[in-house]
Amino acid sequence: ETLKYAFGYASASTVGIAADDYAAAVKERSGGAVSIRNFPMSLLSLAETGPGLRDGMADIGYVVAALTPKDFPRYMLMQDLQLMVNLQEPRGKESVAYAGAVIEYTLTKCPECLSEFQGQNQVYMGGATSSINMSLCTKPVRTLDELKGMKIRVSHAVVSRLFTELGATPVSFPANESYEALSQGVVDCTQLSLPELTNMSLADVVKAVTVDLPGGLSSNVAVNNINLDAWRKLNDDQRAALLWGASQISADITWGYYADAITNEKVAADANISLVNGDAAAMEKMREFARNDLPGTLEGYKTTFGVANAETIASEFQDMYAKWLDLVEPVESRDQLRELFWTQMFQNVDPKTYGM
Amino acid sequence: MSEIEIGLYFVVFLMTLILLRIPIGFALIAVSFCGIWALMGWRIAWGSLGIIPFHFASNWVLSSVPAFLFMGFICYHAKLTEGLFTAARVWLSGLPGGLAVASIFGCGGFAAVTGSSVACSAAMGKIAVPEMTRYNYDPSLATGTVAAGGTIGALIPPSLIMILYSVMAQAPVGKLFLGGLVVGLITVAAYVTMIIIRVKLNPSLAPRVTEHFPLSVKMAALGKTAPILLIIMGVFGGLFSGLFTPTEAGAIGAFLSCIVALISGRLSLDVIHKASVETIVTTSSILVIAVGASLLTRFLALSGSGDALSDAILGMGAHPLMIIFGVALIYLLLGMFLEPVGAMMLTLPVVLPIVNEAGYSAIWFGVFLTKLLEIGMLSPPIGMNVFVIKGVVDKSISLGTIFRGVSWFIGCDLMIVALVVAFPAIILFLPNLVG
Amino acid sequence: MGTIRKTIRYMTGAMGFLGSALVILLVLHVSADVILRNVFGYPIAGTIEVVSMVYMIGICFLPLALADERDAHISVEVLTELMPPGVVRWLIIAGTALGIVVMGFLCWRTWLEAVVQYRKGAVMIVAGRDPIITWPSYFLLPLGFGLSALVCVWKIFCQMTRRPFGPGDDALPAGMELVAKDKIENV
Ligand code: NA
Ligand code: NA
Repeated sequence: ETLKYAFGYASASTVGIAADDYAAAVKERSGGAVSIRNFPMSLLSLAETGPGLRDGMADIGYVVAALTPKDFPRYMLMQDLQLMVNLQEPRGKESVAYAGAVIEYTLTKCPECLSEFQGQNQVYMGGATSSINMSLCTKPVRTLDELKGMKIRVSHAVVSRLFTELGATPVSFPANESYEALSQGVVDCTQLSLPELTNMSLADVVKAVTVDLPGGLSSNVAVNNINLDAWRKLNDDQRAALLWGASQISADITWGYYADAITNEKVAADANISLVNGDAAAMEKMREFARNDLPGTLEGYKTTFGVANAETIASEFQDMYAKWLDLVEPVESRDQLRELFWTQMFQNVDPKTYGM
Repeated sequence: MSEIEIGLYFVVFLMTLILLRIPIGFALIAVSFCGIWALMGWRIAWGSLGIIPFHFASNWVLSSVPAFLFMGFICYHAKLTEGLFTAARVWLSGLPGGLAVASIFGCGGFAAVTGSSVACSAAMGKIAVPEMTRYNYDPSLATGTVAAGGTIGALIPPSLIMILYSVMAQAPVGKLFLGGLVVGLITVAAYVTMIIIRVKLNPSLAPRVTEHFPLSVKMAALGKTAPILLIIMGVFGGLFSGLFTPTEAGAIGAFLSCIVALISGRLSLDVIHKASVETIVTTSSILVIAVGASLLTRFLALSGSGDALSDAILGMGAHPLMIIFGVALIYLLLGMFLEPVGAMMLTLPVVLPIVNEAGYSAIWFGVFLTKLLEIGMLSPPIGMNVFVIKGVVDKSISLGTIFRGVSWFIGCDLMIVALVVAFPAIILFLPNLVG
Repeated sequence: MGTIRKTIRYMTGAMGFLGSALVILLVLHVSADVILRNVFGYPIAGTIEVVSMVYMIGICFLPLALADERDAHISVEVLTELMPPGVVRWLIIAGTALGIVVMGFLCWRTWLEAVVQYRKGAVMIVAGRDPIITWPSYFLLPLGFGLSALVCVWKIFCQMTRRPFGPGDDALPAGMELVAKDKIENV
């Protein structure tokens, strides 16, 4: 059985490299019974992957839930809880913990989440997170004074509200126009994670990075969802092999971004980019916003997206995240994270019944 | 039949349909759809038809296509560009071949407000050719100059070809524009030098214009270019001082053009109507081809024939220089027959991976490709710019005369092509510097 | 016959008007965003989303029928120049027939997609404001493709019966485009 895996990233990107390992892992685990053919960018763009996977243009797809929020409101809700990572003292592996929490919560605590994916004719097979979001700027931004009137490109609605609260001017355009916009001064900052210094060559134009503002991360992707019909046509062993592969690719992409962020601290140092922190007043205002904004966000999910149990999800997810902060504490390598994802989550998914 | 074979057969079938005068967009959509169907089954083909058109069109970068088109049509119909040629003429009449040189500069100026080379030729042709004929310029020089000068329109930003390329190749349009600006200016310089040398060697080509213009007339003529200069400065100035992004520049340019036309009393409902209708007709006819090309890309990906083709070419172990020479040759040949947007959309799915593997930057190749495609606008038998000039000049000037006049400019173009291959930095220096 | 011709012209005219209005709206909306952002530090939230999901869809698909009416679809004439006009006429008719099939299929398929999007009330997240509703845009596609198919049906009828087609009363009989080689406007 050959399955087509479409992802809207280049083959040399973090996702592309993880996809190659994924194909190899599934092939090995299934004893050659399932092979995966990768289509980096050529078959479906990121925006097309949701409907494309639904219609069977690809068998496996990298789905970005934020592009069609109404299809996956509960999965999106977890993304919109992102500012909770700012509320505790930094421990370093917040993004890794968040990925684990999202996947385990979806697989074990949120049957509605799984139905949402099935409603789009696909089976959920795990997600991943970016590293922590920062402000990549052309000048140091630390204080409320420096934030005042600063133009920043944002990618999340909640982050846009946050910066408005902090006195800045959020601007929105596609992330991949950041380079031009920064170099020409259209914006002073762009909200992205540190690996974009190299991925988008932003190291050429960025002069300072505020590492703890806005905080938060992107967690709204389902990295290897499988078309429901394709899934049901496979036998138990084949499905088991794909679950094994899913644990690997979810770990690889998450760890990949996490490790890239560390590498890029050195890139920043070499390019004379200063890594700065928000001052106490700015940080306090940010935390205050994170607390005060949550009820409104949850209310919005009730009214706009019909998620009646938004509060329950939020509090359960918070506990899950706290548990994962401890779980990832000893993890020091990609292979350890693979192992943790497998034993903690995917191993417990029954290939005979899951998605059937 | 293997998947790769199916892919190749359908590509041959596609080419046959296109040569039989079937509209390129319809042929692309139909063949790609049937190809996906043959390969993957009905459901997948049917699915792709529902997904791709919407997602292709709902593209922020692509939105600068109608905006820039609108800007060009407004400038043209509100006659904002007329002063350009007059001013260039008054100032340059002393030079050998002064009127022809003035036409090239006029084209260069018009190029900054239009994205298309045909529009540029048509606008300058109507003004400059009668003027040159009046002074007994050699008809082939007069018409060739304007036909070739038009190609600058696609090189100096804005440029439709580069915007579409940037969408297909995922390359930043701002960098492409900067590279295009350099090659456009080099083209202006090369054309002007060539005209002056030719006329020096053979003065009968362009009898010297004896009129002398007093400074007051010269200044007045310069004043007439104020509207267009205002627009150009507004757009380029705002772009480089960080007021807006290249994608937003189209809308700003169109808005500025309307304001300038309004102030100079040349904006009427008729102008707006003509400009907007021409904008949407052009946009949607380009879009049909683009959607088709996007479907073809998926078909080639699914069949693996695109990869097979590029692997075969790369597998011959050719030197990157040989590859780029081959690619240039292919585009020069295609350019003889095909219209540039169609030629680009048809070939990019196969050519991009090859060029990429051979180690050429996407920015460099985008500018290089634009230059090659523009040569196709001039080369016989199908040279759109030549046809356009034929349409606007005196009936007694034959197509052959224009093609003869154009051949000198193609010579210049080929030298520029060789130059940018030998020194890629010519294109890449500015984009790398500014970002 | 006159009624059909008038109806078609009325419909393409309406699409032209809507498309034109969207071009002007696009220009004004983006300009306003740039100006407000730079002068008052107050950008219009959702400009990019509205431009790409609403204006661009309308501008690209609504005028398709207009492009058919004006023969604006690009084709290659290099081989047909060497062929006898009788053959070329049939090739042109074949092109129109393919247009009917292609536009008809696209109309049908995009209609089904539009219904799917409508049923789930598709929205899009916008930084800085409430989500925008996107499903109505999906209906612009079947509208544009459908009208284009209709115009092609009328066109093929004119081509078969050698009736005049297109705007203006001096229009050439359909399928005789080859005669009018120097009729190059709209470029
Ligand atoms: Na131009
Ligand atoms: Na040609």
